[in-house]
Amino acid sequence: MLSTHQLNITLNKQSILKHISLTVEPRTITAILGPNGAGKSTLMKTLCGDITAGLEQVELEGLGLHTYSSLELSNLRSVMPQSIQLDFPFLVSEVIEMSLVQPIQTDEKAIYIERALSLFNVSHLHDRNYLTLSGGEQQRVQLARVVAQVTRNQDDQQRYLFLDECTSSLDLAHQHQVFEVIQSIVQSHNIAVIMVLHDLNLAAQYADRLVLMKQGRIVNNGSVNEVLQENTINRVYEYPVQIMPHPKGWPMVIPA
Amino acid sequence: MRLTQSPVKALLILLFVTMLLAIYSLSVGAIALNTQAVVSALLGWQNDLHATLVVNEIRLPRLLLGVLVGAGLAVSGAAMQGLFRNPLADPALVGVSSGAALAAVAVIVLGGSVLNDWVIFWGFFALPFSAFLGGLLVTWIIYRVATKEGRTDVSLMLLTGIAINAIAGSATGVLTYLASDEELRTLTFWSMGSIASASWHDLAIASVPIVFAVVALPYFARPLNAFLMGEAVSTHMGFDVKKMKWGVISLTALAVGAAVSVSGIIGFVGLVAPHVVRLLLGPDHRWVLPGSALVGAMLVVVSDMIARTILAPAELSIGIIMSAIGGPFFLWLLIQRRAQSGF
Repeated sequence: MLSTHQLNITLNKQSILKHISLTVEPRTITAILGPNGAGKSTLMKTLCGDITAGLEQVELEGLGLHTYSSLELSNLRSVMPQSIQLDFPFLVSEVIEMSLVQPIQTDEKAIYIERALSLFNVSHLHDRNYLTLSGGEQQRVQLARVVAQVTRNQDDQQRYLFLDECTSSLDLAHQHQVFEVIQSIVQSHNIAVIMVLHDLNLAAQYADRLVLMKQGRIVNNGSVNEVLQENTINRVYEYPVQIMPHPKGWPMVIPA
Repeated sequence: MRLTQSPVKALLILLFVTMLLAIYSLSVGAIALNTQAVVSALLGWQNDLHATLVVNEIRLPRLLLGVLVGAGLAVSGAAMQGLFRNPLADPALVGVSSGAALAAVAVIVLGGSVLNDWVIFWGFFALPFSAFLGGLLVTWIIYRVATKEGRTDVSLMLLTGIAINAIAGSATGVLTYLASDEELRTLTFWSMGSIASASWHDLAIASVPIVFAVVALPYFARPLNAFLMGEAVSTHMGFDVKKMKWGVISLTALAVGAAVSVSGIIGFVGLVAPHVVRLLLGPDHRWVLPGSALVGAMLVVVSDMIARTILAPAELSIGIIMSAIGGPFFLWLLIQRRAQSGF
């Protein structure tokens, strides 16, 4: 279980997160939503252990994050940041291989890399120079890397996958493919996903729980139907919206 | 894109070529010796005392020092490029070498006066240890100035290097006024870089720290690979970033300090060698670090051969040869980056 109670984060004398209480349930997808500057990324970084000031305030399996080494944490969660800058010409297969902290045998390694790449339909990029890929291809390779890290052990330990705007460079079809893959691993691997999203409709379609933030506070936290209410969204985004049911059931947010 | 798919084989070939070059270099110089004479001198078959003397007392220490210095500088350059996450770092360019040189010059000039106690305390190792501290200080300063949240700004890094080179240059200049005539002669060698006066004594000083760094740095190869995607990403993967940073910073300072204290400032070895290796073997530090050591050794040995033959019987400083190779190479790299960034 990953949880935080009354979390406060102050960076450069500015209060970024205020009184955040949140519990992430097993085998769920939680989407953190909110307007620009709401503190979504900071909350995600705090939960995954990037922000030193928040380490003691976040509990993983009942223990503060500060009690874990980075190696131990890497066995319990993996993280996809908003952007990754790499200046050296690694092959795609080598980028995936990096997610193996402990080296494994060559033949197992080949299987591991192939499985990771095929999950996101990027097997054909195996021998390509990462630097020559398009933004969308790079993003799918990085997704393959973080998903490989969080699914590399076959035990039933609960693990966490953090995704910050993980489909920002992808087209419509690839966006949906990625979320379908993520939904399926949540079920098959006992993984809880915490992701930052801008697209309310993607969140409505794929997330189990929504956390709506504004100015460093959680405004609303609950199921998709609980959170996506017209007046709430109007107030938080300061923009008029209308909510209509998608033919398949989930709510759809459109400008009023 | 890469010239080989088998890094281990390529490393063995590099090792073999380095050894051939090394043996060949023993036969080159003011007195021409054939390979047979060189080999028999090395193996101690004393059929030619003169050749034995030239090889064992003059050329062999010089060769070995060249190998050590080249390997040390190149492996440090490769590791620094990983640490700063950009391929333009070089111990001399960013000022680590001049910081080490300043410390070494201070020990030479002030060793009899202000720093007397320090020199007596460290004895034999006063020179390389001081150079190590100078290099360590500079690396730390550059890291603090040019790096924020694990990202190094390339221009800030290079500009910090200019500033540090200026500061260290002026301080070294002041020290030369305090130096005696004999000390002065050794001082010019610091700024130009030379392995001409190599002795078994120099070798004894430099070998332990450089061999240690060359062997120990590849231990950080995998964390360095991950670090190229950023500090946060490598932490998420489970690597101990803090340990890696301090390991790499101290080991590079150790190797550069030792190299500088016996050969002065030889620039560009740490820039050219890792680039050549990346073209051959790709950017994986598991191969780049040992490969750079070999290519760096070759570079210095070849440059030294040129330095002592091109104007024979006079000798050029090896630093001049390396700059003649490295300067245009650096320019070519900058032009390439310019093309890539669409500037």
